Parts: sequence; C-alpha cells; structure tokens
Amino acid sequence: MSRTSVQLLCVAIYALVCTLVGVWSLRRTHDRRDYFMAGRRLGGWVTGLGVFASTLSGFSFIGGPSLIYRQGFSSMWIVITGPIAHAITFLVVARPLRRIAGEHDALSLPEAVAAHYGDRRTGLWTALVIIAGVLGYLGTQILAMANALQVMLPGTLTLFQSAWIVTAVLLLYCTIGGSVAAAYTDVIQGLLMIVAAIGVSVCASRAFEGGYPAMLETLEADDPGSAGAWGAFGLLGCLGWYLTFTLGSCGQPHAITRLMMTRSLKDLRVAFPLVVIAGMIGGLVWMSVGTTMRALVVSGSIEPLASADQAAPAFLATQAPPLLAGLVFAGLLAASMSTADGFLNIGAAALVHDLPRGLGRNPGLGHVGRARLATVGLCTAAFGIAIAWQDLLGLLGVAAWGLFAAGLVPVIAIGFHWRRATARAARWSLATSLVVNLGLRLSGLGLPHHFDPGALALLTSLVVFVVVSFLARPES
Amino acid sequence: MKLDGRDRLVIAIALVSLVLLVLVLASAWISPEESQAAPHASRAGLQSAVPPPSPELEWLARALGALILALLFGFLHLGRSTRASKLRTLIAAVLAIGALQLCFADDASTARLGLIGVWLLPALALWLPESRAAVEPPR
Repeated sequence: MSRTSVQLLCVAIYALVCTLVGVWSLRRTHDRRDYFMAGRRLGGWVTGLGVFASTLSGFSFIGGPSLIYRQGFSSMWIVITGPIAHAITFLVVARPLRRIAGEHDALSLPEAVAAHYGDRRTGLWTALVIIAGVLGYLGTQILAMANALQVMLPGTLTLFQSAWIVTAVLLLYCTIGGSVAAAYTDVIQGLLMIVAAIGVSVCASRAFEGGYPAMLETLEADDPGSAGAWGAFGLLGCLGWYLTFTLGSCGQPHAITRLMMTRSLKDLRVAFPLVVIAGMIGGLVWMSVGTTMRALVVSGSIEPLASADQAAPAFLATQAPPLLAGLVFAGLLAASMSTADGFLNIGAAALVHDLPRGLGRNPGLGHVGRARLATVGLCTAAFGIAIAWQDLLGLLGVAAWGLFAAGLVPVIAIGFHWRRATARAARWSLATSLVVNLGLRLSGLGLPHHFDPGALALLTSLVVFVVVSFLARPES
Repeated sequence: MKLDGRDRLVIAIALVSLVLLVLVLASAWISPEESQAAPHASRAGLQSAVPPPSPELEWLARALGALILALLFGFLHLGRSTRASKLRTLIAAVLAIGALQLCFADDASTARLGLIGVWLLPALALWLPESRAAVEPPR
C-alpha cells in the first residue's frame, strides 16, 4: 500500500466516524438549546477534551512548527503559556461563566455577558468582537486544512480546490449536528491529537542522529541567538506573545463557550486537569517538528524548504512512517475541523441570536434553520478571506487570538468578579479593543521591538475598562 | 470613595497594565535603533537572531517580565478563596522565579530549571481547593 493510500485511508476512516457522530447528534438536536449549548449536559471528560481540541488548531500543527523553523525558539513563549493560561481560565472564568449561563439559560457568550451586565448593548458589542475574530480564525483553519490536503494529494489539487473541499466537509457536519456534534467529535479528535503528538515527538527525536541534544548543539553552533531563549524574534516580541497567549486564553470564546455547556460545576474539576495535561502533550508537536526540521536543514541533511509553512508537511512526508503520517494528517484535520466547527457555532449564534437581541429585537423561536443559514454565510466569507490572504496563515491566527483576548478578557475575567464594573465600561473596553487591534493590523503600523499588537490592545482595553468603571455613574 | 480589597486589586491590575503600556511605547525612545531591528533570513526561510540586546534593553525586558508576572498574579487572585489564594501566591512566586531564570540564565542547566518552573509548576494549581468565588453583580 502506498504512502498516499495509507494517509487517505486514515483520513477517510476519521471522516466516516465524524459523519456517524454528526448523524447520531442530529437525533439529539431538538431545539436551539441543543444546537447552541449541547443541551447543557456535557460531562467533565467531554468538556475537557473539547476545550483542548478547540484550542489546539491548524495553527498549532502547521503554524507552530513553521515558527520554530523560521525563528528558532521564539515561539516557545507561546507554547509554555498552556498550563498557566488554562489555570487562569478555569480558576477565574469557568465557574462564574457556567453559573451565569445556568441562571439565565444563556445560549451564547454574548447573551451571558448581556445578562450579567443587564445591558443588551454590551451583548451586541461582544457579538461584534466575536464575529470579527471568528472570520479571521475560520480563514486560518480552512487554509491549514487546505494545505494539508494538498500535501496528501500532491499535484492533484490547487489551493482553491482544496479550500473548497474542506469548506464543504466542514459545513456538512457542523450544520447537521450543531454543538452536540462538535462536542462529541471533539472527544475523538482530542484523543487522536494526543496520540499523534506523542508519536510525532518520538519520531522527531529519531530523525536526527544523537536526538534532541545533538539538534540543540547543531542549532547553537549555527546561530546561538536563535537557539537561545528569545530566538530570532527578540526580547520584547517574545514577552508580548507571552502576555497575549497567557491572559488571552480566558477570552477565547470557542474554548470558554464549552464551559457553559457542562452539566454542573463539579464537571469543571474533571475538565481542568484533563485540559492542562492534554495541552502539554499537544505542545510537543509544535516544539519537536520545527526543531527537527531546522536542525536537519542547518546540518545539511536536507535541502532548505521553499517555505517555512512546509516544515510540518515536509516532516511528515519524509521523516514519519506512513501510518503515523496518516494519523497526524487526520489529527491535523481533526484539530482544524474542531476549532473551525466551534467558531462556526459561536459565530452563527452571534449572528442570529445576539445581534438581533442587542438591537432590541426578539430573535424568535425555532431559529435553528436561520443558524444553519448563518453557518453557511460565515463559511463562505471565511473561505473568501482564506483565499485572499493565503500566504498569511500564522498572521491571521495570531491576529484573531489578539482580537478575542483584548475584547473579552477585561469584560469577563475582571467584570464577572468586580461589583464596580459597569456596562458602559464594558462597551467602551470592547470598542477600544476593536479600534486598537484593527487599526494597528490594517494600518501596518509596526510597534517597537515587534511587540504584539494584540497585547497592546489588551493592555489598553484593560485600562479603559477600569478607568471608565470608576468614572462612570451607574446606568439606570 | 470607599474602596474594598477587590477594588484595590483591580486598581493594581490597571496600574500595572498602564505602566506596561507606557514602557512598551517608550522602548522606541530607550533604544531607537534596536526597536526597528528585524531578524534577517540567512537561508531559505531560516532567520538569524538580531544582535544581542543592549544593557538598557535588557533592563527594560526585566522590568516588563516582572510586570507581566505581576499581572498574571493579579488575575489569579481575582477568583477569590482564602486557602486557594495562599497556594496561588506560592505558585505565582515559583512561576516568577522560574520565568526570570529562563529569561536571564547564562547557562543551559539554569535555563532548563527555569523552563520547568514556567511550564510544569503551574500544574500544581490542579491541587488547589475549589474556588468559592461569588459572581459579583455589576452596579
């Protein structure tokens, strides 16, 4: 059996299982509560693996190794944020969010925020931030999956055709089952990603004679700076990433929305350690593949790659056994599909549920049909973004993460714990985050020392939130 | 205006954020040439590090690192619970030491120790007692 056949078989089996789960989920989706919140009956294991699978995306599988290959160890500052970031998410955000969602029967994050602040306009601004970020992140996932499909079928498909196929598959199982399908396919996907991560890191250590110690020696001899703690990106750039990815984690709606779907608060205690441990294992792919490919190129064992984004696909094509490569490709599709699916659900909820409510209109009963239409619309828009910015996979992902972080962290992490927080401050903070983030990204204005624009927007919106809360009189 | 403990914590978070913001923007004046330095690609796709940081930039980075850790520490304290708070303080202290070791280590073994501190020790949070944080209704 050829390498391509083995890889395709792995992906086909994965797709079949996901379709079966989607069909099974269809029977369990009766109303909008089922569609958006999985009936609020997820256990700890399903929630934990769901948060992990939603967080680990195509950016981690392709963008991560690409960053290590390109810049040395700079992006280690993103990988090491995992445990502390999850600690902040679960210790600070999880319980109040689940409690508010339960008390108000909130079907989405903006609805929970609006219920907490008692202000529909705050929900409206939250929905706008979410829609802006969803489009960017969804485009990233479609691009990552399209790239993987191209490598699996070399010379068969253009990027446009690949992107079209993955968008169609994504639409299929997301529109069928809604969040029930997403939650349960995430269990399969999460387990697959853990197995793939362990297999790849073992395989990577054997790809270079002498293993990781020899790789590090080779890299240090070539360029001590890029093999050091700051890599090629530099001191302040790395610290900016650390800030964005540590604090920003508790503002990622695709992950924290899963916390609103748990059966009870007790399930969070099971989910938390699961997410931390799975996240640490998942980070192995990011570190091992990029390091190995950079060391192989530096030592002259392989030719330099045409593009850094090829680091992970080239590793799988040349260094991994066919079965492992097939598993990892399925894992990559699983990671991207799961993240994209989460985004489609929260984006659709923002469009058909939160925007009308924020504008003072009743979204009405039985809007599952409209949610499915919104899902199709979002997918189409993200497909357009993916094709328009096809060389900016990593940039799109980081920008979307920063958009969510700057907009939602002050309003949720501080606002849910602070009596003085006002709805007006929340709106100002959300608007500031959008203006600073989009202004810096779209104008191309570079910050000193490559400091992350998302981190700067996060700091600004934090200050605005606290200052306006102190200055603003309570609204009637 | 009467301030309670939570108000003071939030004010501290805002102040730290403000100082971070000012320092980041001021770094363009503290080391103007370095602030625009970009890593160059030595081979296809591979970048080489920018020149080693000046002493001023290193001190600035130390200050930023400490402030970021203080910010994380402040956020961990937001989910309040008495016993949990003490444990979080301990974890944050270990985390801070680990991170600083990693940032400014001169040899590989110290850096490795720092990496363990930053990456693995927060997992200690798994043993924290359940938070009894109350959701604060806004005004």
